[in-house]
Amino acid sequence: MSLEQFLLAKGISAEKILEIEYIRAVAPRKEEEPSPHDDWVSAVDGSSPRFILTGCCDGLGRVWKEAGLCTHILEGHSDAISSVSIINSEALGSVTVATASKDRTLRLWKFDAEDSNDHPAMIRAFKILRGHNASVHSVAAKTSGDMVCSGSWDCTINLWRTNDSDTDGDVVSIKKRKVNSKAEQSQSEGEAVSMLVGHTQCVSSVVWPQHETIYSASWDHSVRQWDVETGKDLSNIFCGKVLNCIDVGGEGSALIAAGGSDPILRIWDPRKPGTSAPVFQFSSHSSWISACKWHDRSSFHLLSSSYDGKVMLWDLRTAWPLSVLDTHKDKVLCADWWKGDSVVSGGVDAQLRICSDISIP
Amino acid sequence: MNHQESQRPEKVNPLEMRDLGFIESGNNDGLDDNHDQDELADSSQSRQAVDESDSSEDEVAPRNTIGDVPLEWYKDEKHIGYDIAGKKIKKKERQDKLDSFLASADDSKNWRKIYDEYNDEEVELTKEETKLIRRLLKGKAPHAEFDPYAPYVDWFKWDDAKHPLSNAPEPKRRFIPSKWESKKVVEYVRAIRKGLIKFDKPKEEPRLYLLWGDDSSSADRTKHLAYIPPPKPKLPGHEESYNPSLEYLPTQEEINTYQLMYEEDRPKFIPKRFTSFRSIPAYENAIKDSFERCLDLYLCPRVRKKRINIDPESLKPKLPSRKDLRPYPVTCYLEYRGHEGAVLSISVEPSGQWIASGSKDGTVRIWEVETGRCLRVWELGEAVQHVAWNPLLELPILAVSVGSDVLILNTGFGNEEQQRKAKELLQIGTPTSSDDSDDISSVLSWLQDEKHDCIRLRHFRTVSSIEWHRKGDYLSTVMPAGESRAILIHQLSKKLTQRLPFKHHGLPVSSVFHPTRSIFFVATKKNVRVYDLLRQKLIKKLETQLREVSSIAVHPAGDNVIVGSKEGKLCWFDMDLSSKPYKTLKCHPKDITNVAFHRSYPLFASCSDDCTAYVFHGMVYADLNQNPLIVPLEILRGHTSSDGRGVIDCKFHPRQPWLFTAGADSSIKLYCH
Repeated sequence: MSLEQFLLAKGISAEKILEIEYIRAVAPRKEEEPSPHDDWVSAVDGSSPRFILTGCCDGLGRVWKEAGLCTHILEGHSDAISSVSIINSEALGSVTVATASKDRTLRLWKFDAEDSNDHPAMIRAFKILRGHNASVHSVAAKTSGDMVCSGSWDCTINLWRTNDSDTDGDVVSIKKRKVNSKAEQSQSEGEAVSMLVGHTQCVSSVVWPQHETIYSASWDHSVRQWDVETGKDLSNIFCGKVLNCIDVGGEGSALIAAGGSDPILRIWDPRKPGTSAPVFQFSSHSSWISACKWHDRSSFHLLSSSYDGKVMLWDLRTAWPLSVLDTHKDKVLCADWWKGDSVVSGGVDAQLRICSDISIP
Repeated sequence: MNHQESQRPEKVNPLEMRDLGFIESGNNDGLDDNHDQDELADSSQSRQAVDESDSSEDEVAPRNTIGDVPLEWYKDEKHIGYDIAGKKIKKKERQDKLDSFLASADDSKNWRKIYDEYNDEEVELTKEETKLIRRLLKGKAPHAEFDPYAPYVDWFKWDDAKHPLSNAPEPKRRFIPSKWESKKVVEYVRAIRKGLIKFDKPKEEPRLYLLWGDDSSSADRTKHLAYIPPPKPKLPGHEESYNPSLEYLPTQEEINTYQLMYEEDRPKFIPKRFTSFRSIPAYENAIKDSFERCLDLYLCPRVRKKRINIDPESLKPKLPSRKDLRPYPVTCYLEYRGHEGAVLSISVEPSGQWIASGSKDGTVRIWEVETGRCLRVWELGEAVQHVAWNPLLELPILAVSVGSDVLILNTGFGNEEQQRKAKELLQIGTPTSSDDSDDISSVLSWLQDEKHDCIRLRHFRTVSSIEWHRKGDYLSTVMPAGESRAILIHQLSKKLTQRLPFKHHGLPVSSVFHPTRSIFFVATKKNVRVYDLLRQKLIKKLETQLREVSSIAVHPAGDNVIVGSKEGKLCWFDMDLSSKPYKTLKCHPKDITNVAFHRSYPLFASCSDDCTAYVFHGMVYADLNQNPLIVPLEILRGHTSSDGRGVIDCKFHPRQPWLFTAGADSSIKLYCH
């Protein structure tokens, strides 16, 4: 909308002094070709700049070096993968990732991100984490990388250790399955270290942004903040709607963004005393919000994806989306930032889309 | 005569007199005053002066007393008149003109002399008198001392009386008793004593009175007919005018159509236009009209209609605002697509993670609620009438009615332990049902279905609805055409089937288990029967007063039932209150296909073939004195009609205030709050 049109639309006289606030348009300039999957892309993680990790409803996890180039396939889940998380990507040799699935297990995988073949390498999980009674919905890794937490339909959040069973003998009972021992790679099973109980319905999303705190969003309409050491919930925010996704970031890495069963992306500031009202509400979507992620460097930018097939980039300072990525044909189920300047998203159309070259200051 | 004529102008104007040089002789001091009187008779001021001179009247000569008679009468007499004593006053002797002229020429005071004809004397005016005359001539007040601008003196006292017309003091008679009145009183007193005057007797107060009010007025009313004024005849309007506006005139076509109408419907008067008064013909119906009016007045009984003044707003029930009753389903965000025929039935898994649907295309599908992903499909080959999840969380099995079969499917959800139990349950060991009862075995058989790895309950008629008991072991099936064996109850753990041990009345439509007690509801086409399964007897019969019941749902507390009917009416029964509907809601223009209660929120819904679903707030209070509160909340639209059917099934999410609707347009929609 040009300034003239704006004045006409708002009925403002041209004589008036207008204060124009300028926010740089943040829009992707490049649309990379889609990476096809066999089924719905239900999870994506772009926290490592070297690769993208996706989870698919056919039970396979995939590692993409770049658009259309799949290097590894994580094979082993018997049901759809619902969430993926990269545990440590700094290590040069092998990268550890975790996947959560509807088959009530989490699996930990190791692979070398550097090696690249023409044919994608099949990877088997080195550790299977069993303990949830219902499908696991979400997984998040601790920043140090030695633990993961998972939220599930059985209303609990479980904490797991990620280290190899060889070095870690005291915590869990280690069973080497005889069937698996015949295989070239051994698989160990892990049990939950502790369980955070408090939600009354499905825990749909967890994040572990700081060393000591876990944030979780649930279908019981609450966002809870957990102390890892004591296992108590420190605070909870009620929103009145079912929540599907949560992320913590922004200014001081303290703002909680969450979306759910309505088209409104809400952002809370837990440091504000005595309030449960969101500080920001963005309502440009037209259906459920499936994912929201803060940009890891900028404290103003975040993205949200929705079942209406759109991914929107937001700036906290404006009420309107900076840009709307309308590349998916159907529901978008997951979205993330990649390398700081790209948006990766996957959806019901079984494509992983990468929109790159976004200049964020 | 001559003398008199010449004298007259002198008298009028004394100043001229001097000019003319008249000389009057015979000056008489005594006549001065007479002259005065004549000259200044009109002035009240001068009268005083005359009165003063009157005091010296006795000394002066007697004056003429003839009065106001013409002096001509005495012209020829020797006297001029008579004095006060009646003596003649003699005429004075006349000087001749020359003498008088000389005398006047000599006398410097001659100009002041005036001849008084009446008294026949010459009067000499004094200085004061001449001054007076001069002032008069100037038009001033005659006396110099008179002040025309004297200060105003208010002679009346205005303060005492507002109306100064009568300032008279109070007369005395006002203060003294009247003599005549006292006389009259005495007269009356005497008459009373003598008995000449008699008084009316004082009215007696009735000692008995009607305790419950006065009924005399109603008796009065019945005695005679109250006059009811006849209704006024309608006054002629514009169309009855001899020259109505054009819009009142019917066209020829309209007049022709009047001929086709029935006589009663035909308009009585057709407006016509006349250009002038004299062209108006006589009104041919005048006598007929007045006759009919008289006939009406004579024959039509008249009744006074009592109009009650009620504000229509006050008749509306006071309902709370919809905003306060949130949350309730409002918008459709998710759609579950994949079926190829009308979705006939849906059922939500008790945890709310999955939803099962059965369709006319012969498939049963399981969907993930959150994403809309179809997880499993069973091809059953025949239209799926009804699907129902087992209410136990740990028993993930699904009962499906296909034609005359009921399949108990293992959905494959749950952990290994649950799966093992479910599989165990769905194995039929030995067919033991035959020895149970003979009539049952002939109509029903438990079979193992290898293809879908499930139990197949083969009925002898089409099964329309399945309902699980809350403990997940029993399920009831309804075969509308099954006559005495229309409703069967199956026990899954023992693989047993029993007939409902009650006599059936009417065609059963649906059946429900009570959510907490061992009570069983059977909805027939006309009414709902409530049975106690333990004592094996009928507890209640709910009379719906509907034409055809289509669906029934029981409130999770168990005391309230809603019943949907094919005429679009929804009845709410409060079973503690009565066997008649507590409320009947007429919302849908078409058949209600299903009704549903929410498990935890105070919500209920009805869906209909008009492609809408209604959501209501239905609050049931623990206090038995308080009636349930029913508030219509939302109309959910979105489905499209197909094959004359709209929304076929609706179910609430068990934990969220969400509503699933299954439509004939082969889609399932989820409405969220």
